[in-house]
Amino acid sequence: MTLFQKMRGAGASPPRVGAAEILWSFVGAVTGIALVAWLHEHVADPAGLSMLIGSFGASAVLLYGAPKSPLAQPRNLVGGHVLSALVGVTARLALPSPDWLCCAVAVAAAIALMHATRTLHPPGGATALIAVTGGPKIAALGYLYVLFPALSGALAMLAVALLANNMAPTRRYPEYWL
Amino acid sequence: MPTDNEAPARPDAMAVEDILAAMRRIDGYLDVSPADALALYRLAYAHAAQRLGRDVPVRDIMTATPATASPETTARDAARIMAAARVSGLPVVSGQTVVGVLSLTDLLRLLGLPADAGPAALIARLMTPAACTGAHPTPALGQTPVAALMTSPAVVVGPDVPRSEAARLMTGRGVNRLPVVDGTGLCGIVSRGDVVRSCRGVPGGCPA
Repeated sequence: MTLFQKMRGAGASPPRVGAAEILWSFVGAVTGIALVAWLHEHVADPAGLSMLIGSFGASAVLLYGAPKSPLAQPRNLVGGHVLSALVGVTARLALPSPDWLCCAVAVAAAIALMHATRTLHPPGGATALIAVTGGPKIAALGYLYVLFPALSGALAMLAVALLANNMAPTRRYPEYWL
Repeated sequence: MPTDNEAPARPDAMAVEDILAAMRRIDGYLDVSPADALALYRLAYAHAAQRLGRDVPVRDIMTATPATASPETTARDAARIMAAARVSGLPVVSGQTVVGVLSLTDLLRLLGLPADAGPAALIARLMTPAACTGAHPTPALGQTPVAALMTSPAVVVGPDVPRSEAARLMTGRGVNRLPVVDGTGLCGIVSRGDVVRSCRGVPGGCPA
């Protein structure tokens, strides 16, 4: 098979999910992001910390939109964010310039570490990247970034996923914990 | 025996459209492409068929140390042995050598029932009042030695004979059990029930 033949793709795309799935995805995401954003606004930000980073938007897709996915399980959610945050902060401190290389190494090392620890969680890549590119406020956190927002935000989203997904009659979460 | 339309689809017959239909049934978002799901199904099916369909030797499915009779055992004692062991046939051994097989049918013939009569024929006769006034099995009949009733020589198999070959032998020779004989003599017995039980869960039934 040539390179171009491979690029054409040959499989069927999966079917659309039902209306109930769409509704429960919406309900979970509204609740989960609302909780994290509220905590950011009323608790973390006044204390000079952060609870809200872009990668939680991506985590919401997995947790509330595809809760059966191996990528959405608690081990992956918590492990992926925490390890990627560690990698991201370490990359920024160890490799201050050039910025483009620091970004690339942070994301690539986060993926490699998540794979090796069976914690692959796509939003972890964003968590690692934001540790490098998040601006002065994120940089000032240092390794505290691993706890706020990475661990605390992941735990808040997890709590909502356990409630919202299991309130849905057609859903069950998690598939496994570890 | 499942009919054709109940038999599980062979892996090659499964198509992407079946996977898509199954995905619609599950409804939640599945993190797998239909092509990957199909490939997974085919590989898993092949693995299960290999695991469950292996042709096992009768050694693995036989009943070891079965109840036996000797040629001198009386018909009455043989019937008691069968009843106690809850079996419908006994290998007849002289020392360790299998010299024949005694089945329930052989005992029924002793009672004057037709050669092909089964246990139900005996029940029917016992429940018919007129028959009870006629000839009863006398105690003397019960003294008949097994040697005079058994099927001899017995159809036997070795412990390494495959299950499929044992099934063919039982069907072809019209017997319900085969004594299993190794170098030292009788080591077990394999019945139709043993073959059926050992096939539980095999997709598409036993290998032909």
